Amino acid sequence: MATGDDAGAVTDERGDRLEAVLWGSVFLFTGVLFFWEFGLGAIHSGSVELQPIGTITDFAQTMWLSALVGGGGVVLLITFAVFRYSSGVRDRPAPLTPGQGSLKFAVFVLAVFAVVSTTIFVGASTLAQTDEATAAEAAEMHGVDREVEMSVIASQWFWRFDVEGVPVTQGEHVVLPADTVVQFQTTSADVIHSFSIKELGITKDALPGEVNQAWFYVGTVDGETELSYTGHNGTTHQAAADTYEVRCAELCGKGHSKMLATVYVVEPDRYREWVEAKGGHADEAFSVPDDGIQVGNATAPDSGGHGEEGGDH
Amino acid sequence: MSEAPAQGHETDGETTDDHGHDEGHHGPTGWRYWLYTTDHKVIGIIYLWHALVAFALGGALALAFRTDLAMNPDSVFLSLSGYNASISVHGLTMIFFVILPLQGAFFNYMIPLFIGADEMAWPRMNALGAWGISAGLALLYLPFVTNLLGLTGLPDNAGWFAYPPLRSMMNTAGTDFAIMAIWVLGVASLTGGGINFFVTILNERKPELGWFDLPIWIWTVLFTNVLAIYSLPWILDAWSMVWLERNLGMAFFDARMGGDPLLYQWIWWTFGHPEVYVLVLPGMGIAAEVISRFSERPIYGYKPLIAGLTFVSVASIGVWAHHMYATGLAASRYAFMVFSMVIAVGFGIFIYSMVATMWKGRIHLTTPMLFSIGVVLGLVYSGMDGFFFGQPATDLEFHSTYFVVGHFHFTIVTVGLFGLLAGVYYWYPRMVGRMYNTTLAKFHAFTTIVGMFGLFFMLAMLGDGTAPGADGAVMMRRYATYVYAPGLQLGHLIATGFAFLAGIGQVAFFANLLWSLRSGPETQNPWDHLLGGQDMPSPEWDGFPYRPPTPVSVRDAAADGGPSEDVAADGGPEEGAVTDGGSHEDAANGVTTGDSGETDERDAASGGEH
Repeated sequence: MATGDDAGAVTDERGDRLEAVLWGSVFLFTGVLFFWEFGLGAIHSGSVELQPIGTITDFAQTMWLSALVGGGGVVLLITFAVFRYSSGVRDRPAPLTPGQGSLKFAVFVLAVFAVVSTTIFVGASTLAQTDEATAAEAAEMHGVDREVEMSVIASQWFWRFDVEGVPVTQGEHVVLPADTVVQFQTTSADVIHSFSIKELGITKDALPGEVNQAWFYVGTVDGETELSYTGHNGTTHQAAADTYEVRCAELCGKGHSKMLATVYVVEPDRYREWVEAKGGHADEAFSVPDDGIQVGNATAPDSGGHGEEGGDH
Repeated sequence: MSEAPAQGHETDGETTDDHGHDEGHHGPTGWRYWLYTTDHKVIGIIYLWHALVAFALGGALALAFRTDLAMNPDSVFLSLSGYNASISVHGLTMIFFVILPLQGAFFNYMIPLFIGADEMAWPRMNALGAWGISAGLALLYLPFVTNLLGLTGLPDNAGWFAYPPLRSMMNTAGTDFAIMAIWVLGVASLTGGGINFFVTILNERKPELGWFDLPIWIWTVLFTNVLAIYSLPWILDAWSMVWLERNLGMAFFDARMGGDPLLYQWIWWTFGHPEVYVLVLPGMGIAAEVISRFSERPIYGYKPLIAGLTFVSVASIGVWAHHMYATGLAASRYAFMVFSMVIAVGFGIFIYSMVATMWKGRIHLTTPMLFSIGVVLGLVYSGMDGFFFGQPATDLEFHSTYFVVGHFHFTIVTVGLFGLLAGVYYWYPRMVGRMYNTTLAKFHAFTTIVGMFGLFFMLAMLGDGTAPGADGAVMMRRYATYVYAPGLQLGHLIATGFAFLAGIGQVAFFANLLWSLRSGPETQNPWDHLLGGQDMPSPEWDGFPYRPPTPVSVRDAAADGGPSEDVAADGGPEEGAVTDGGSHEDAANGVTTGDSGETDERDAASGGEH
């Protein structure tokens, strides 16, 4: 390599074929990573049994694919250019002339615009079916006629879940029914937290002094785990359950990474038994899907039911 | 400041003397020379060394917490709060004390050379901007020392965007120090830096230098500083309000006292999103200059590129709430989604322009060129990852996972920082008059490109559940531990391995710069004999009079050895095709297809007819 000890002849390139191959391979490595990441993303497709993640994943799949084609194409072009047009391989550049390739350029810009516009429209409808949908709309979309309401109260560094019709407040674990829309409201007793279950595609900030609302839906239970619990009269029960992990998704201080909880989803009949075993009335556990409270960043929470949720800490 | 004009005159004779700062015979010497200087070149070098010192500090923090994460799913040598402090200060350091000062180094040194000015518009303000970095950096890192001595609590540990009420409740002086650090840096770089750079470009240009004669880098500098002037006051406001809450008991963000925690986020991200473009645009501009020169071709589509960059700069002001999709925003998310997504068109133009410039050029794989190609690749990565965060539906899936961490590191490091590293290698000989060691430089390029891309790739994989061994488990952002899914450890180990590869490269980088400062081969222009024949002048190397390289001037250079008057005047390569309906089909073949050299010749001929 011409390291250039000799002033005036310092140079920073070998200018040979080996150099083109070496650095072309380095850039090819980044391309391999690109295809790895986006290819793995593109092979996921959504399940209607899990919502809203099922709807989101179907949409995300088209995004992964267009990124794979568009971005992957650019990465390959760049890698090719390094192999093919390096100074070690090529004696002189092709001149750039006025207007050269402007049709292709225009087509490219229009193509990007078309892809972006498509994702805007599809993304908007995905949003309308997921986070923007009310629990009532979600119930209609997924053919369910019952919901369970849950209040999620975050504080440093644990979760509390008050589920409608269940007499006990649940902490690290919360039991919920399948085939039911779960409408939840989040709020915080101290700093900002964020209630998220990534497996279900939900993330909702828990803000002090405000109430946010969203929903999720699990269609069926595979029974990947067993829920054992003790009834209020001392009997022991078991039910097949699936688990979904709750994570705090906003830095909330020292215990942020330990602010975890698990949602156990059981079949509706098992859920009724669980509610009865905990001393509640199964009939009161379910309600008709509704629009919930009207929330939004600009709207103060209605002081009715939610003041007491926020206030009982 | 009598030496200011003297130094200024020296810079006029830049073709004969490249290191005016060694010639301190007009004014004070020793440390006074550095402290009292108002020479834009010396100030540029002060900026550069500040950025490098901060880069070492921020990088050491990154390696510390990456090691902690890789060793064990539970915390190892960093406490939970210590981990939070490391990531917070790492972020603040890299954004405010590495990338901004590194940009400032080139702004200071190069803007006057590029536009033919003899000094910045306000030299003394410029010096204020430089020393503001020292003060800010000292304030940010002082809590590490005082904490070790047991005098104060930990440094700021609420994350770099530091949402209240968490931050207002932090019981440590480190938080107040961090706020004051950003005050000092912000005021200094706003008044001493941003406004000064902006006004200098506007007012101090050589009269013959028209807007469309400006190198693309100067355009990006202009956009950057407009965005900095717009955005920095917002962070100063937001952080001042937090300071008042903490220290004077005022209530802006505390819900218990009638404040609104979301108010902070609205103010903060109004700063925060344009800030991202402040971080990347100068790097993209340097990459454009470097790719053009080292491909021996003028920039493809100069005017459309300016249009694209204008578009992204303006649009960047209107997309901030895509950082807040999970906060309970309702229908406004549709609007912010549209703005966020269409930005892709502007960046698409940049990527196309760079690929078309390289295509059929003669690419010199010098160190600056390698980093510049990394910029284009990084932009592809960060843009494609970024799609998922412009869309509210997918954002809620990936919000606050390592997928975001991967995304913004691709943006800030492989686009913003890589462009600036390209600038360091491209301009270092211009700034110190000596060439760097090219073997070490190539080693740095290799380790940095492989290490950084590998690291951020693995972070993204950890965040979308596809990391090896993770079995679908997702690593959450800012989690000091991941005991909930020990399977993530393999991914963390690989990521940390890449981080150390990059870290070793940075050691070589520092060693190289320090070694070259005294012992590098002396050179006026190391690129001269590589690029000498191409007739593509760049004002910082070749001085004035300067004619921007255009598509025509290269062809004419091949034909008759000089730029032609008539076509240089209309400048933009896109105008030819619009008027030249008959041949643009042929011309269209020239850039992206065409399998043989013959096509080039034919296109050259047909395109030249107009």
